[in-house]
Amino acid sequence: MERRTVRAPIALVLLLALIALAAPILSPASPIAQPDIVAQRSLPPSFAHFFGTDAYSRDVYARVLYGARVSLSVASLSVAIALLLGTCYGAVAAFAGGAVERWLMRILDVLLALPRLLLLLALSSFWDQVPFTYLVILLGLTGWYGVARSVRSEIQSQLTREYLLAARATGVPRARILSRHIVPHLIPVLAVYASLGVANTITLEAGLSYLGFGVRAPNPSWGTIMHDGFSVMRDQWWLTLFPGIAILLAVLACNSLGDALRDAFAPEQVPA
Amino acid sequence: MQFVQSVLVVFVAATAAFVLIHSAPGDPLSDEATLTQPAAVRAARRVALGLNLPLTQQYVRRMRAYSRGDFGWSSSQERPVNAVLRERIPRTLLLMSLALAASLVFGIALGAWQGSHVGSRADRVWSFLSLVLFSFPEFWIAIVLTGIFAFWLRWFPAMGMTSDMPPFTFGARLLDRLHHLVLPWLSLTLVGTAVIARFQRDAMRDVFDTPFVRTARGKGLDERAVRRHALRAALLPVIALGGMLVPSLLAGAVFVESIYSWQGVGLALLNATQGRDYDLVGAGIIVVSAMTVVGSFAAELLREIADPRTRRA
Repeated sequence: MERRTVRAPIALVLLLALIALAAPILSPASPIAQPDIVAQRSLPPSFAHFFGTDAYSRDVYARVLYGARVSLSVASLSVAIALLLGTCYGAVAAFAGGAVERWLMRILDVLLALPRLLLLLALSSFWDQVPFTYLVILLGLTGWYGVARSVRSEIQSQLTREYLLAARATGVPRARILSRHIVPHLIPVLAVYASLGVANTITLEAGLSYLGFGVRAPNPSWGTIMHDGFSVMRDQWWLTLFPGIAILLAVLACNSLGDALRDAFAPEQVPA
Repeated sequence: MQFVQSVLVVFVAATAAFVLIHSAPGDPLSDEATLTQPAAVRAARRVALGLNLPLTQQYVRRMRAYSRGDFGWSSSQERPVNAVLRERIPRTLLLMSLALAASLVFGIALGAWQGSHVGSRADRVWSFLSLVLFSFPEFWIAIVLTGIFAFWLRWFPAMGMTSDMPPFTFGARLLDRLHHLVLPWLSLTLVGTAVIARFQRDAMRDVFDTPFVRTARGKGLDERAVRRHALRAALLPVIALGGMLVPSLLAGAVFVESIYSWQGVGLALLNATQGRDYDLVGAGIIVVSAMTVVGSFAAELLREIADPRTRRA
């Protein structure tokens, strides 16, 4: 018996989302205020500043909490775009069939071979700091290929099932087939993809910000905080450690949710 | 068909590179040194570089150059892109191939063991550990390793490819290079191992449910032989994954090379994007796409060797 339970990862994901929403309540300090850049710069963690302060005397605890808002919203919004695009593309390919489908899939293979990180780096370098909306769109536009593939193969496997042939033969209208038979089968695929995709995108966004191609926003993302701390990593470890733990927790939560959902939705593949 | 597909990928990548180079702000003549030149000199240089031509002609020229294997001029390194690639690619390939080989060996061994002990306590511990490693961004794992092994224990150097004063003899130089290679290699290998082990474990578990394994057990084959048979069948999806690992290792190399100052192609490309050196970035896109295609092609070949059913007549 190895069924991974969905409850713990869902609780963790919800907790992180709650922390992001409740950042103003949880942190009395502001993430961008620079109270005293002489006396309060680069302080190690203490009761006054749980995660210490950075070179501009900003409170790192506040920055990590508010950073959750940026990191999590960039990831979830861009994955939402990717899911929408991928589902449409995959569905069109599956329903079109024939030469259209073959070509759509070939285009997909080509797109999959293009290096995503390099394209994102190159495109982000057009701006000094990428505006939030553009980053979300760029991540979404380069992240839907996998969804399209899974959606197409799922629809295709449903289209050839007996129950669907029976439904078509008995004259069930197309719209009803779509909404009652096809869409419900897509939900597991999309749910698994959404959680793994969010995990992947948090990593990617953190990496881009870490390399200095961060999002332009009033609040920092976790990667941006780590970027600020890189040059002083040896002495001011708190600038790297705490946002790093936040990234790891968020990615871990989403990945384990994805794993658990996959098991939950495919019980036949899990030996009892 | 595979060949047509590969050509198509490289062609699309080259086109993407062209679009990128031309939609990027500025052009090769917008640096400060050029702006102080007389207008006539600037105009002459525009003509020499072909920047006065219509975009379609510039596209054809660029594609011709690419097909000759000429990737243009790297403005950030002030030498031809080809020279940059020739110097940098071998260093990245060294790092990547060692990491890929180690990931495959460790990942398959760990995953196969877990897959034949599904549900045991050790399996649960390893599953959790590989999930954690899998969730670690490469740059973050590289930082953690640097903190532990370079700053705290001081076993390995934190950055660079050689010591500041490299030793004279060949053997000592080699050791010095390997000493600098350990941490970047380990960063990539840990993540790669986790990816493969997770996959191999599930593949192995699924194979144990198939009829041929039941038959083998039914006829009284001893468990070690059964596992050997199962492993061979379970390797197929993992081989495909190994091919797909090439692009993600290359992406990881960008982070790892930048943290350890490993002067490979990943770091060169990162500096190129920061310095808006789009000829080099464009070449990087083409080269990485080509390597991705080669990776999946190699995986396909390996799968045909491992699985006679997929061999084409």
